[in-house]
Amino acid sequence: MADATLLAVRNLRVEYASSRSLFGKPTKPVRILDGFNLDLRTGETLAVVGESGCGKTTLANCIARFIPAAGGEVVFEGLDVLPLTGLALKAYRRNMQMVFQNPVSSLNPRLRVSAIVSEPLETHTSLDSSARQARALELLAETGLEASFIDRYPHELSGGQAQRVALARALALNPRLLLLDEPTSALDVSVQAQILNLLQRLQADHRLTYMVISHSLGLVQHISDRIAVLYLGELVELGPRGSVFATPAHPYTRALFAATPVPDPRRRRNYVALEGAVPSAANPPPGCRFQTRCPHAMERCRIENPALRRVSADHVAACHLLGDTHIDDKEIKP
Amino acid sequence: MSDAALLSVRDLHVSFATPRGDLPAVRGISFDVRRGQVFGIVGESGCGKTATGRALLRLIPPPGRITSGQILYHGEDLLSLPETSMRALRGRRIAMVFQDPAAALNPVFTIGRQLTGVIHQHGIASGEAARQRAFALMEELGLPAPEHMAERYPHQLSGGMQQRVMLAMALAADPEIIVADEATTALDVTIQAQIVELLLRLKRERGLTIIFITHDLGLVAEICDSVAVLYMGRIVEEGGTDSIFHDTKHPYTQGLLAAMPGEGTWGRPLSVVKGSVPDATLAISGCSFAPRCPAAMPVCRSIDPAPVHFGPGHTAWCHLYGAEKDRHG
Repeated sequence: MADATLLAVRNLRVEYASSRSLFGKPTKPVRILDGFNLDLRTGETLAVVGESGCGKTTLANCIARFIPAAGGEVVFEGLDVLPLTGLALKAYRRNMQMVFQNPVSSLNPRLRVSAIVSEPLETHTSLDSSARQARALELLAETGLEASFIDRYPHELSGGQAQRVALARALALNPRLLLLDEPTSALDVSVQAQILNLLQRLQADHRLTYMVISHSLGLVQHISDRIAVLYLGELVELGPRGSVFATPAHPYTRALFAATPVPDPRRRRNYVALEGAVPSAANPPPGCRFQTRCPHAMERCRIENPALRRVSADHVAACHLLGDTHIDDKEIKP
Repeated sequence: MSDAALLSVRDLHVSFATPRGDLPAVRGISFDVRRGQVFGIVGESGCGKTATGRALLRLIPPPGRITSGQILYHGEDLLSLPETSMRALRGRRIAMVFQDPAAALNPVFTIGRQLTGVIHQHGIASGEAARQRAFALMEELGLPAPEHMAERYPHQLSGGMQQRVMLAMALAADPEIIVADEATTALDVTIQAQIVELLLRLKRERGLTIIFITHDLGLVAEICDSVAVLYMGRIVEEGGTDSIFHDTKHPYTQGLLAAMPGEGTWGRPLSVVKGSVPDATLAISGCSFAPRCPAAMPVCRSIDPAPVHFGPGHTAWCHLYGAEKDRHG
């Protein structure tokens, strides 16, 4: 795996304007991400995990330029893509595609598979219609669909077939980066396995870089090279798959792992459930954002938000329990 | 019905009328649920697990209907009861908890009003006594500051809290059985863990019997005492949770377990159950899993497999073991 950075998120801030109050006074915007940093390395699969409201989908939507950022940078191959417009934005989108959770509803119900898959070619290339059709067939073959699927409508596809079409479409322009937002969570176990195998084959064949958003730790253990754990809009832990799973350093990561059921009745967890729920992003707690649910919270945690500290060579976590070995953001490239 | 069974389902058939003909969702399912156990029903989309759960309460929405079978509970067949008796039983003896609590709660009434409403409806208490009963239930289910919580509307509660309210309603009349249909699927894992702990505590403390319907084999391993694996409206394998996971007999169960990604599968392709579930409106001959089964033999395509028993309570419907019938019997 090459260590070159393909995409760098720097100090990213994303806000949602909360609705106006009863008498039209604008209320304080809700900060979903605030000063967020994360690097994606060329050719890797980075898994982003965390529970609802942690900001994982917002992060992907912002990288994809679906929603605006309130501040910070998203640097793709040396170029900040947040200010891009027009042709330059179009060029960026050719390199970066997103695949969504619900495959059937993410496809236009009024278009046939041929139109769905060749639409990006129409927008971004000068191929004529027969060349586009030929390319569409090639893409279907690559994602494991027979040519006969080309004339179907999305409602005539099963979930797994629809996700293959979504992947064919995403690959049409030979992107370098795929943002996969819960790519298999709407699928049954047996179909999920087929799609995960396909994703791994496509990555090897096309030297793709993946950012996979998932709440399924099994999937993450299976597919990722590195794992980023988010809690309430902040990166709490980041490191290589093996290291994070073997020695999770943040109490939230440990709680998340412990709460995940393992398909083995002989390994039933002996686990005290985390209390409470994730606080609202509109009103985050002071200090460490996890302090309201952390079993180890100390006085300091209620006052000071912990910075990332090094756990091992490539593994960082944001927790006061790890001592005071402060590290420079630039030095560790979070 | 075996002596210890609290609820026995016998040869249950449920079918849905569609423009393309009758779609059999449940095709002859039988199982026994013992008092105080967590009985799992697991399978993929369309296997009939939800239809089975709803049939227990005769809550199959039209155009679906229960076409035949028996559901024996305290010596009575629920399927032959008049609707009025069934209504008296629903919620009071057997209660159900659904997947999406936000959709199941009424958005325009407070939690307290909905909970006291249920208590009143079941004729347990009314007025101040019902309020006190509601507070006690909320306390038991880990809803903090009940007096304050009771004044809230469903949208002001998190998903986990909403599901606790649903459980409080389900438990209001102190039922014997709770049917939980994907009751934790919409929740985050740390919240799911809280609800699972809660269910296990209710089982321990109240002796509650739980029928736990899920697609998640991890949850089955975690919570169920025994489990039935469904495929296309039939049970293909049934047994104690430990033997289902560690002495797996049916190729479908084996395929499901092998297809799960996890710690041990990194860097290699997952094992795949080839193909997908066939169209349920088409006639099935032989074993319904045969078209996808890696071990299918000619007999599998023509003859429906008979049950083969392995050890106590462990049964698989598969021709692979045909010659070794009742190996422990």
